[in-house]
Amino acid sequence: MNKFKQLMVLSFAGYIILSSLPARAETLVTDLSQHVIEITSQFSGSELLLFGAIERHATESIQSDEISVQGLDYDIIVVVQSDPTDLVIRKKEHIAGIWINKENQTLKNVPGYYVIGSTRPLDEFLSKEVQVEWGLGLNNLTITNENGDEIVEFKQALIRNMINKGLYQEASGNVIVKDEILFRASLAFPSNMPVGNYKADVYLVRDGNIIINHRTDLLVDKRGIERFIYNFAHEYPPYYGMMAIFVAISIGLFTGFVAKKIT
Amino acid sequence: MQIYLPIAELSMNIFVLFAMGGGVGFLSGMFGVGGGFLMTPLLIFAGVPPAIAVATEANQITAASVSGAVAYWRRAGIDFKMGFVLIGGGIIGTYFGAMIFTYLKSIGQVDLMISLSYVVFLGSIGGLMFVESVRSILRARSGQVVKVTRRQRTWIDALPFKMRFRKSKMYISVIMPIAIGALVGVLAAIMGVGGGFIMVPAMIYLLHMPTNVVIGTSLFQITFVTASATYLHSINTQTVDVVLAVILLLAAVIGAQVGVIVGAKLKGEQLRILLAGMVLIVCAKMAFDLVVEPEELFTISAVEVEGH
Repeated sequence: MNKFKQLMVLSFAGYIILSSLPARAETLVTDLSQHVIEITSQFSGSELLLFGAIERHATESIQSDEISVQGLDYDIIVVVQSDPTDLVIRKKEHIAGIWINKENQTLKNVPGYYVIGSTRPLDEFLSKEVQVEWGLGLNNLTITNENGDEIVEFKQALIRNMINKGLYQEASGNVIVKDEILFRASLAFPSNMPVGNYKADVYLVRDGNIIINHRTDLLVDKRGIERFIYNFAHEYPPYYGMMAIFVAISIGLFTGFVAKKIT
Repeated sequence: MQIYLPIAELSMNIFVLFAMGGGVGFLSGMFGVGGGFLMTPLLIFAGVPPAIAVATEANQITAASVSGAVAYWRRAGIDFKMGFVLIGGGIIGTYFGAMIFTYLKSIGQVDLMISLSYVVFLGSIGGLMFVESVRSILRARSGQVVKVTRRQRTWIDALPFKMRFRKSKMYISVIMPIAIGALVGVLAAIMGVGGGFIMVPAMIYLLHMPTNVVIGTSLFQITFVTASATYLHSINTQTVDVVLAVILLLAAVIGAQVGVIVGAKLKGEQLRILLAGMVLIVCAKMAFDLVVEPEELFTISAVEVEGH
């Protein structure tokens, strides 16, 4: 965990700088251990560290022993999500003895990846209204079809499917606060994560109110040969098709030649 | 060791892929069949999206059949004129097959069509092979000799647009070869198979081609037809995963060499009954997945972009 030590030192340095400023309200400093996740040929998922420091309000007036007493004043929520996209969800029905896709809905502006973590279960420190207002938590995501209607069955099915794929995650207790100043959260990304722009939001909560939120950008992109093949296939389909045929014919002829030599 | 497949957009164990490719290659070497009809379902069972399994298999079969075609060409085992007529039909077939495939993919029914075609084709071919090989084993036991009958004139001989095929020593209508080629083309595009299991019997029993040119001509046609299917799937749906195709291909080549050696030690009837058994097992698994209530009734996919 050398990397982690480095990060802690960095964030502590950030804290020192912040605490030397004349503070009137809380300030939040956050960062990610990586700002770009590269999908390469050996990619089998990734782990990222989101970390930061809280600069406390009215530092000067509080004596040092009171800080630890005030301990659980703050709660932190961490949300990482990919840019919204449209997804089609289909429901199978039993028709003529077999299971066939029947009803379908196009869900608009759905994150392809959504992970929420917090110091404690959300309901313990945030009212339902605030959770809904800020769209925090899987059940508070706005998931509607083209007509703007929310169909509960399809919304639940989407969340269930995405949880099973590891693309949606909801957990509490996974944001760890150290000395009431530093915090960190470890985030897991599965190998099937969508590529694109992501945003990591950190919310600081006190007395049931979100007092600050801070956003960091994250990019997930294919790199190397994977990126080249994917882009080639999607941007120049006819040439990709010819390339695929050329590769197949060359390998076919070559292996045929080798097999003939051996036998 | 995991490998990320760029088009399928998933990470798979490379040793599992090698085992699958090698295993199917072994069977295809042993039985003398293409193996597409085993590889595609196996990829689907392993979690590769069916549309990608089909298109990628078409690409792999191009490679597998071209080396066979060259070997038969050296032995003068290809009727090129017949081959081109069959390819003509085959390209028309892949065009329509890929069109159906693209349309069904856009309305979310492509997986169903792939499963249903496999159940129907594997069920009927496997069943026929099974009955046929059981019969010939029984005949061999009772010591009967099969009488070879002179071929009868049928309605096929009455069709117009006749053409002379010198290599096959035939003078027949081009309608039948084009129709057979087209059927095989449709199957290549929607099932990811070479179609040898339809083509070879059709050439022997419907066209009455001499057996020495049947396999070579069929391999020659399959090379072009699967290349055409690869091209069309690349254009329409971007579902050809070259990385996956190359891994499976390399493993299959090695497996096939071993399979040929093992196959030479087994009797024809035994091989056919084994193959029929395998085909029926794959068919049963496909049918089972269609009939049994899935654990998850909902599936999620990306929105199909119009005009692709």
